Order: sequence, then structure tokens, then C-alpha cells
Amino acid sequence: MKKLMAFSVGAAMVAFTALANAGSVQMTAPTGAVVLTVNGNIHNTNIEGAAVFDMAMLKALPATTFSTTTIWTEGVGQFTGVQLSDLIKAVAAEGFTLKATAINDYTIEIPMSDAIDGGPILAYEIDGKEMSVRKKGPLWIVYPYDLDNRYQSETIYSRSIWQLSSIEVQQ
Amino acid sequence: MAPARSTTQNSQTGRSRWVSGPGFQALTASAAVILLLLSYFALQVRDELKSLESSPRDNLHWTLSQLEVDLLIFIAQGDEAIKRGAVSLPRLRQRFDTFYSRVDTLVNGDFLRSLPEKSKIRGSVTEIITKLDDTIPIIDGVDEDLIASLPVILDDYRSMQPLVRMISLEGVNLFAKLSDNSRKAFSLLIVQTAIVGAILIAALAASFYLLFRQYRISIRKSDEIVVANDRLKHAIDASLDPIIVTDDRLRIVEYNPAAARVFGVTREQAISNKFMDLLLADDLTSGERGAIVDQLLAEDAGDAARFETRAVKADGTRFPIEISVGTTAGGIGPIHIAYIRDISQRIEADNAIIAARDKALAADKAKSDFLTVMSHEMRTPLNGVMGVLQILQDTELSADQRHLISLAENSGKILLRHVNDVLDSARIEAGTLHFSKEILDLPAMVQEIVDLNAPEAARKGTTLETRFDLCTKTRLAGDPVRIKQVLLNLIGNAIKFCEAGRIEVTASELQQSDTHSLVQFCVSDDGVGIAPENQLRIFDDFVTLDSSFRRPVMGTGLGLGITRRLTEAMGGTIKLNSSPGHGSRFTVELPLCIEAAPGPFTAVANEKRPAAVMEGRAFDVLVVEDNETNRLIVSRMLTAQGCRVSESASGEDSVNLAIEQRFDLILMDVSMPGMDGTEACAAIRNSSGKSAGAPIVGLTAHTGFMDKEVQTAAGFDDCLVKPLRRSQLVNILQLYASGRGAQALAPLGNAEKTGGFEDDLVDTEIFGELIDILPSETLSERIDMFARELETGMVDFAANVTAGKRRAAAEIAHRLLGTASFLGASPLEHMLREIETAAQVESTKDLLARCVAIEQTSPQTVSSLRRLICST
Repeated sequence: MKKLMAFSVGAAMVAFTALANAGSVQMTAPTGAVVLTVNGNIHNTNIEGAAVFDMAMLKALPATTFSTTTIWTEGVGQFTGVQLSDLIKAVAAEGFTLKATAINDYTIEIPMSDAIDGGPILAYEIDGKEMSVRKKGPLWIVYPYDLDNRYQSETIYSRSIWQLSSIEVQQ
Repeated sequence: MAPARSTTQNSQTGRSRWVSGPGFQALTASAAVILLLLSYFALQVRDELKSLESSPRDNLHWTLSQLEVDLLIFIAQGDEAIKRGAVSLPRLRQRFDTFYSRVDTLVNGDFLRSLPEKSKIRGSVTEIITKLDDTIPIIDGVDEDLIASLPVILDDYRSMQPLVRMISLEGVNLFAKLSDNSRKAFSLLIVQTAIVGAILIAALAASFYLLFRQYRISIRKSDEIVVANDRLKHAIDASLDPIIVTDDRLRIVEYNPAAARVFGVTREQAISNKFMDLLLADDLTSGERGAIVDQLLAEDAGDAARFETRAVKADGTRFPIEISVGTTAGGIGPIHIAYIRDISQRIEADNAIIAARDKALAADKAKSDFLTVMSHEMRTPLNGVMGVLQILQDTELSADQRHLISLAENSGKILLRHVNDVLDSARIEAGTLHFSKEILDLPAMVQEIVDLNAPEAARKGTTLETRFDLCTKTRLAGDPVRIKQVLLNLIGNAIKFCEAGRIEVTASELQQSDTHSLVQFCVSDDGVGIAPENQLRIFDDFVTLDSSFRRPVMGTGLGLGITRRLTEAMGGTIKLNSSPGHGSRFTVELPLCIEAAPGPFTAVANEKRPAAVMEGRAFDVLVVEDNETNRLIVSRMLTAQGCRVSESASGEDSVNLAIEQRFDLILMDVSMPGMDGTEACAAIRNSSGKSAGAPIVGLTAHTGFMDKEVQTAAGFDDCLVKPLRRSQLVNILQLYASGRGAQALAPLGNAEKTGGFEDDLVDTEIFGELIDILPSETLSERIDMFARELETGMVDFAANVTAGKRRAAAEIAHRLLGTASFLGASPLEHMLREIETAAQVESTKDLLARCVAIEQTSPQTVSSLRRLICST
């Protein structure tokens, strides 16, 4: 129940933030290779209708680190990345669904309600090292699975998209 | 009432089954088991749910199928790169990485780790990743080399397709198994849940049933309580006596209408007030109040819970009450129930009864006092009358006048006896009568009374019999005079109510302790009997049952009253069994002391000789006695008392002497050879001689002569029984010397056969008196003479018996027993008395046997007598 409240409060805050940044803000353009494209219903962009990020831009955003096991890796891994909620804030997204797509054309919808503080991150480092494509890099949405068994469902596993390349914010 | 009680019982048994029956324990146990089962199942279900909530793996179907897709995409991209050249290489490399990542996921993921080491999939996956790792240098190498190697690589990867497909298919099989297992686990979970649910439902149903039952019981109980309360309230309200219930601080919590009525305080005024302050009299002391509070609060006071005190009404009137208290457990603390009764009327009635009793006692005392005073006052003038009559007798009178005076004198004597009876009765009542304690010879005593009454009984054709059942070894002590008085009254009474009947007098010992013996005297007759309604009354004073007829002797009605009082004063009891027409039986039981051993022989000679009563007075006594020894003894005794004694050995002789000389007293042996005492007495009386009016006192060994009437009829004034005792003689002398002023001897002629016995053969007291008055030489002579008399006497006796001369034999025995009696040889005297009586009736053989017994006892007795003389 408490969690549910937290979720909804988080969602409301995201919505509020989005509204507060209703005015479009021009973001800086990437200098390195683009690793992530965010488009759809966002207010902050750096190209036409989208916000693109190179690794440096992502690392410039507030970083979050946590340790957890995953069902795809061996042992406990220390993951560092940008919280989904922080990314949403950064692009002033407005909507209820995040449609995430991977390099391998895998696509999954993540409800906006997942993007909470203490929730999933867009991990760019595991155990302090960047991840290659062969090792599910460069970006991987990782939930803190060990924190809560609600993060141990198949739905959450399906949202843990790796080799992430783009996010579309949908209404 | 009865149904209500049975309901109560049912509810009680119901409750006990509910609370403590074995069913309850079983229920508790099964509830515990169910609870454990439920907990176990609940935990199980929770764990299952938890494991369902978190999934151990990703969607592997997707992963496995995607493995094949990624491989195909890589091959297709490779084909395109061969056609288009380096332009397509970045894309190819990305596809390789994607494929590699897919395989890597399999290799490092949980799924492969969960498979057995030797599994086919594991091997295949390892094979694939090895191939991929081998390809990496070329993929990461320069474009030209990659393009050059591409055809080979692609062929190589195409050959990998069946392997990848196999992995997919294996995965399908594996997942079918896994999902089968998980379905089974899930269905088991469902079943478990269902069981838990069913048990829960059953438990719920059971709880509901029990609750429902409890509910019904409590409803029924509350109904019962309502009914009981209602009934209790009615019972309390209906009580005529006040009932007040208080709490532990004695504040009134319940108060019934009767209380309101009695105390005049309404229920509203009483409730919550202190019982002590409101209803108890205000003049009780603090001590009394404390005691009442204690009694009211006592948990279980028993009888003390009922007590009397005083209460007060609303108008201030105080009245006595009786309170009984019960304590019981109330709702909050114990309650005390006081049942109160107004006892004003009872107290009044009690007081009236006490006043009536006091009045009756006072009246009774006044009556007794009056009787005592009157008797005393009557006796003095009566003595005067008797004296005057005596004086008149000494004057010259015609025979007619003498007869009239004699009648007057007899009437006077009867009156005197009645007055004495009344005095006795009053004395016993006043407790001033004292009883002596002397050694008793019960058979002799009883026989004496019987003999005394024999003439009167004979006159009415009634036989008198005696029977003894006594222990001869023990010597009993008591007051012989009073015991004889009792027997005399009873025997006299029996004769009075018997007409040609039979009277039996018995004496028997009932029981013995170390110090006392309970002796029972029975006087039974077959006379008219006494009606049941009179049986208790006859022991009262002044009761004469048939005052209308059959009263040969006038009575005061005091006889049996005195008898009862004497008996009771001696510690005994008297009772009567009688039925009208079948006679009566009076039973007297007396506790008599047992004298341990014969007292030491005390020679009377050592005693201080009493002053001679006739010292210095001319008092002429004529002793008429055929037996020389006896005559000597009596003469000596009289001389010792200061009398002038004349002796006569025969009746004829004595008559002559009496005519010639005026004697103050004549002592006359009743049975003498020739003219006997009775004849001589009559002759003297009728002689108009000088001693015709002299008092004549009979001397006899015959108790039969003790009857006053017999004596009076024969012209005797009194009678003394042998052996003659000094005290008796002194009494007689005092009586006649003082002009008959002294009290009559009562009862007359009491032979006090008491004192110690030497060898059980000689009464030392009697013999002591002889030693006192006779010189030892004379006494020795007399004893020798007695010894000779005995010897020849018994020979003569035997000869006479053999010759058939029974009367002569009896006379011999009588003469001998007189002497024996004088010498105090009581056992020998007794034997002689028996043989005298037996001489008339028993067979020769039996009599001769008795002779032998006497001849054996005689020498022993004589030697005892001689020894006694020597010891002084």
C-alpha cells in the first residue's frame, strides 16, 4: 500500500515536473557517438523532435549505483547509471508509457509509473566498467531486483531491456 | 417448584459438561491440532505464493527462439555484406554482437546453471560460444580480412543452425516438464488451500454451533435467574418476619415489607442506611454493639448466628428481637441476611411463666413451713395430753374408765406418729435429715420388718415371704433405721392392699464396685394394684388413693412420699410396677458402702462410760426373764444406769411381784415356759395391783412381736429386741422416766446388730457392752454355763425331734438363741433361730443335720467368746 502511494506520488511528481518545464528547453548537442535517442512527448530536445545522448551526456546526469544479482549474470553485480526518473526529468517527458527499443529490435513498453526514485536505472557501467554490446551494453535498464520481490516478476524481467538504443515517450 | 429445581439441575450438569468434561479436553486438543495444521498449511501456501510472486527466470521461450532468429539475421547480414562490401560491415558487426550477447546470456544465465552438467543443451551452448569466441578476432579485425573470411564464417554458422534448433526444441521439452511440475505444484497448492479452507469452514461452523449453544445456555440461565430472583423476592416479601440484607459494611441493600411494618421505616428510608444505626436500640452499649457486628459479619457462626438483642421502631419504641444471620456470596463481596423476629410476646410469656413458678415455689415453701411449724406446735400439747393420760392411769379408775383412757392413749399415739411423719417429711425436704453409716445385716433387717408385719398379714390371711440374693462376703454399711423405715412403709402398704394374698420381699445385690454395692429391695404383692394414672401420684405427699373404703389404719398419705424422699436422700431410686387387679411391685435400689475389713476390736470397757441416766433417782424396774444369763445381763445394765432392779424368773412370779410392788418399768420376756410374757402382762394389767398401770416393755427375740398393734393388743407399751443394747435400754429409760415426754422410739425395738465381728462368730460391740457391765469372772462363768447349755440343749433337741416332740425342741432352740443373742453370738443365734422355725416344718433328717452344724459352730463360738474376755 505504502509502495503504491509512493508510486503514485512519484508519478504525480514526474507529471508536475514535466508541466513545470512545459516551456521547451534546448539541450546541448552530443559530441561523441549517440548511444540513446529519446523522442515522443518530450519538452527538452537537442535535435528535431528528439533528445539524443552520447555517453558523456548520460554520465553528466545524476548517477545512481546499486548492487544486485540478475538472472542473466553470474554473482552480484554493481550497476551504475542514470535513474529512469532522472532521465525523464532531464528530457521533461510527459506521458504514461515509455516505449523502449534495443539494437536487436527488441521493443517493450515501460509504464511511466516504473520511473521512480530508487527504481530502475539506465546502467552504463557494471562493476565500474562500461559494457560492450556483447555484454548487453552500452545501455541496460536494470531494476534493483534484490530490493523487492515485485522486481522479480517476468514482466519486470521483460522490461529489463539491454542494448537499449531509444525511448519513445507515449501518452 | 419441582420443575424449576429440575431445570436448575439440568443447567448445572450442562455447565459441568461444558466446562470440565472430557469432551471439552478433546475439543481443546483437536482445536490445537487444527490450529497447527492450519498454521502449517498457511505457511506452505504463503511460501508457494511468494515463489509464484517472484519468477526465477526470464521468458526463456523468447530467448531460445530469439537465439535462432539472431543467428539467421547474422547470416542474412553476412550474405548482404558479401554482396555490398564494407558498407554493411558495421551492421554485420552489430548483428554479431547481438547474437553473441544472446548466447552469452544463455551461458551466464540462471537457466543454464540450473541444468545438469552433462545436459545436451549445456554442451551445445558451450560449443556455440566457443565458435563465437573463435570468430571474434576476425570480426574485430580489419574489414578486408573480414570480407575475405565471410563465406567461410557464414558456412560455418549455417552448419550451426541444426544445433541451435536442437537447443530450442530441447528447451520446449524442458519447459513442458517444468510447467507440468509447476502446474502440479500449483494444483497441490490449490488442494492445500482448499483443505485449509474446508477446515476453517468446519472450525467456523463448530465455533458457531458452540457459540450458539453458549448463547442458548446463557439465555436459559438468565431466564432462570430472573425466575429465581422473582421467587426469592416473593419469598422475602411474603415473610411475616422482617428480613434485612446488608452488604459487608452493614448497609441495607434489601428490606422486605414485613420489616417496614415492624420497624415503621419505609424501604426507601432504609435502603443504603447503616443497619446498626437505623434499627438497633440506641441504648446498647458499645460492647454489645461490637458483639452484634461480629455476629452479623461472622462467616460461619453456627449456633452463635442466632442471638437476641433490642431494636427500635421509627417512633422510638424499643422492643426485643431475635436475629438469625446467614452470610452468602453476593455479586460484590459477601452479603449478610438477617432474619428478625419480634420476641416481645415470647419474653412476656417467659416472664409470666417465671413469675408463676416463683409464686408456686413460694407457696410450696410456705406450705412446708406451715406443716413443720404446725407439727411442732401440735406435738407439744399432744405430749401434754399423753402425759395427762398416763397420770390418769395411775389414779384409781374403774375398768371402763381405764379402757377409755387406753383408747384415748392409742389414738394419741397414732396422732403422734402422723405428726412425726409430717415432721420427717419436712425434715427430708429441708435437707436437715442426716443418715448414719453402720454395718448392716440385711437379711436380719428385712426379716425383722417382715416378722413385725407378720401378725397383721396373718390377720388378713396374707402370707409374707422373703428371699435373699446377697453376697455374704461383703459387709455393707448404711442407715439401718431409715432403710427399715422404707421397708416398713412398703410392707405395711402391701399388707394394706392385700386380702388373703401373698407378699414377697426380696433383697438382692445388683452390682458391685470397689466401694459400693447396689442393693435392690422388692416388695411384691398380688393385691388390688394401682391404676397407671395413679402410679406416679402415689409417691406425692398427702395422697390416699381410696379414701372411701378399705382403710383399716388411718393414714396421712405421707407414707410413700416419705419412702420416696428417704430413698432419694440416700441416693437411691424407687419405682412401681403395677396393673390393677394383678398386684404391685415396689422396687427400691440403694447404693450401699462396702466396708473393707472388720474394724479393730474396741472394748467398750475402754470407752468413757456414759453417765447413768437414773443416777440419784428412785426408779424401780422389774426384770422378768427365765434365762439366768439374760436376766443377769439386763439387770446389770439397768443397775449400771442407776436403776433399782428386781428380778423374776417366771411369769407367775412376776405377776405376784407386780401386784405387791409399784414398779416404774417392767421389762418382760415375751416367751417363757409356763405363763409367758403376754399372759403375765395381761394378768398384771387386769390385777388392779400396784403395778397394773406400769409401762411394760417386752423383751423378745421374735421380730414378729415388733408390730405395735400386736404389742398394744397384748397390753405392752413397747418392745425391745434381743440382744439388748445399752443405747436402747437408755432410750427406754429416758422415755418412761420423763413421763413419756421424749419422742417415741422410732421405729421401735430396732436391733442394731452392728459393730465388728470376731471370727465372724461374735458381735464385738454387743459383747463389749457385756464386758463393760459384768466382771470377767462372772462373764466367764456365764460363757461356761452357755457352753454346757448348748451341749445338753442340742442333745435334748435331737432327742425331742427324734421323739416327735417338735414343739419342745423348738422351745429348747428358742431358749438357747436368747442367750446366744445376749452374748452377741449372732451367727449361732441365727442358726438357732432357723432351727427353731424349722423344727415345726422340716424333716427329722434335715433337723439333725442342722443340729450337727450347730454343734460344730458352738465350740468355736464359745472359744471366740473366751478369747475376747482374755484379750481385755
